Amino acid sequence: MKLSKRVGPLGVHAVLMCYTVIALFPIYLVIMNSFKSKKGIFRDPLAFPTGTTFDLVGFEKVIARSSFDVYFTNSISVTVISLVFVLLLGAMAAWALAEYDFPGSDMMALYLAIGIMIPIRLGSVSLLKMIVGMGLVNTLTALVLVYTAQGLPLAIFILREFIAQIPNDLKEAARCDGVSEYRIFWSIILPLIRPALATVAVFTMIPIWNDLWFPLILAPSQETATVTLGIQQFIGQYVTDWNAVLASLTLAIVPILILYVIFSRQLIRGLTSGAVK
Amino acid sequence: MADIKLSGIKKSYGKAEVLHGIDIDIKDGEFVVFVGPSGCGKSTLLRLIAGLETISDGDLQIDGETVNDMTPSQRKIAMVFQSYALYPHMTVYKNMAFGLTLGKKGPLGGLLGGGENKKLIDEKVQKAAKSLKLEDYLHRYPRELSGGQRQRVAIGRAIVRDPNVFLFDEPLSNLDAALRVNTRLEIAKLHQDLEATIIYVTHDQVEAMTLADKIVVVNGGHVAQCGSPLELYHHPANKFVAGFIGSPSMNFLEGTTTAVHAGSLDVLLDYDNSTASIPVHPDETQIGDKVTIGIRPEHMKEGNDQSFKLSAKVNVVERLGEASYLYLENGENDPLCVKTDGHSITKAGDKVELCADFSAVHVFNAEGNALARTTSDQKYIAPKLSA
Repeated sequence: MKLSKRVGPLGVHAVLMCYTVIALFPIYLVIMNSFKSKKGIFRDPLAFPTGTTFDLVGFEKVIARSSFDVYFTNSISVTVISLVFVLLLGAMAAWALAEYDFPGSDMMALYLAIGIMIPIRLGSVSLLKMIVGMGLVNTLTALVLVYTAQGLPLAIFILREFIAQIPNDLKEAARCDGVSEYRIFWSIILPLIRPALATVAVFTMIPIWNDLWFPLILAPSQETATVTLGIQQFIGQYVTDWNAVLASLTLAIVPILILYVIFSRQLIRGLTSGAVK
Repeated sequence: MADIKLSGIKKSYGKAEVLHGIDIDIKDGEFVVFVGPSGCGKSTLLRLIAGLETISDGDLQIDGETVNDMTPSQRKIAMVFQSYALYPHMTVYKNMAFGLTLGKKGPLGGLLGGGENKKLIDEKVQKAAKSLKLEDYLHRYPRELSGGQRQRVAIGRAIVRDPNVFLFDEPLSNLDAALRVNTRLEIAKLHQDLEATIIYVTHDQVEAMTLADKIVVVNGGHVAQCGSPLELYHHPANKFVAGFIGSPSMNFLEGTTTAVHAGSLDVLLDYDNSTASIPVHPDETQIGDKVTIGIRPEHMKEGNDQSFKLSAKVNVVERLGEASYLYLENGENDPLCVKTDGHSITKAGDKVELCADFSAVHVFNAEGNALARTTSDQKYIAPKLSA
């Protein structure tokens, strides 16, 4: 009895540890090798950088030879702007769908949820046609629009569930207080779904940051390339500059890590405790 | 100043009608309690008055103005919810001030500011906090408060808005027994201080009796009776009100009319085949009609020196100290209850003789409506209270 009680959590932790190691190993490799010379990388890719193999040549190349600052700015602006749109529009749509009963509201919710099941890349051709038609090729706007569309279904789906859980009494108390519907949304609903917003933000931001597909087909120019696209210039058909690739990948992790830390701090539980008994 | 007038208020959800035409007049400054069993429609009625639900049919007037289509804030009501409904991410101070910080002046319905000025708001909040003894808690969050304190914050939030009407939706039902009595007193005192019109919903008839100027007993979407607490107690209009008001509730015995006189009715009781001659107006009651008689536990006593006599076996005795309740064998029906002296030595299993005055007995006809009593015994009729 005692033994099985102990084994349970131990087993769970063992599985989780294994998973963590597997998941982190590639990242560990990337970061470690980005600090090594080319010889060091190829001779022993798993070794830690030592006195002889330590080399910052990758970072130097990335910063000196490419417009990495431009790619960075592009990636960050596309991610952040898309994120703002997804969270704002998603929360507003979710609030409307959760709170107001209008004809076709259920159909609308279903329609929006279908977006989760159909990968947006299936529509790449028509998306490209639309973007060309609007004359937005090679602009960051094109990316922001596509990413917003891509992120909205999941955002609405998750936020709607959260908003539905907010006690009705709170909204009604606010209405009795003479609070307008806009203000209820801004001052009561949004603060209370902060943990959900953070979750949605994390899930939305990572695919956008990592995406190579849409930057490649919609905005491949030198001025609009994102980090993931920019790195490609170091990967040639015959020669790949591994130092530069690994260094730029390492740099690319930094901003997304910072954003993640910001959002994960919002994931506080029990925010509604004390609202209603 | 706010009189409230409900005329023919109906509410249906789809095809199901839950309120079937409610007429109530509420005078300015009156403390009105809606009471009834759960599911009777009393909370719905309150929400209709608040403007949280739309009225299906009928006319609701506040201060002589029809408000059917107005929003809660236009009606100038403030509501205290059973769950308190405090904003969890705001301090006590902000909870109370929130409703004031916004006016309808600014763009987007006050989203970008507007509302009353800060000093005025602060004054109002401090005043309310002082009257509710919340000064020390103004910077705490609701989750850091006890149930009673949260309740007071909810009341404070209503007070600062200085509404025409206060609406309370079962405000005490989440509090423990001791706190409930305290808070009940505080609400009674609040009513005296504010001289405001208060509508209060509860399923607890003790709260209704203790707080109300006027009680509205709601049953199955109808108003069963409306009147002062003592009127309802002494002159229930029907069997439902008779059974609902008073604790423990009234004893009912079935019987058949055997003789009809000008000011009284002879009833043969199924219980022990005895005949009781009860001073009521017979109205249209005929000989042979089934009637129900009702006697309150506190109007019966052990002994045989009064006109109405019963004898029965005691099943259970509850000793409360100041009084003891005897629960008597009554076949398949609910046991009869008698309130007797706290020093009574009667035990469970004893056979006892009980009596009451005929004047204390109520009679209800087959439809459950009460027959008017003709007694002039002051003990059994509602005293005239000067307003």
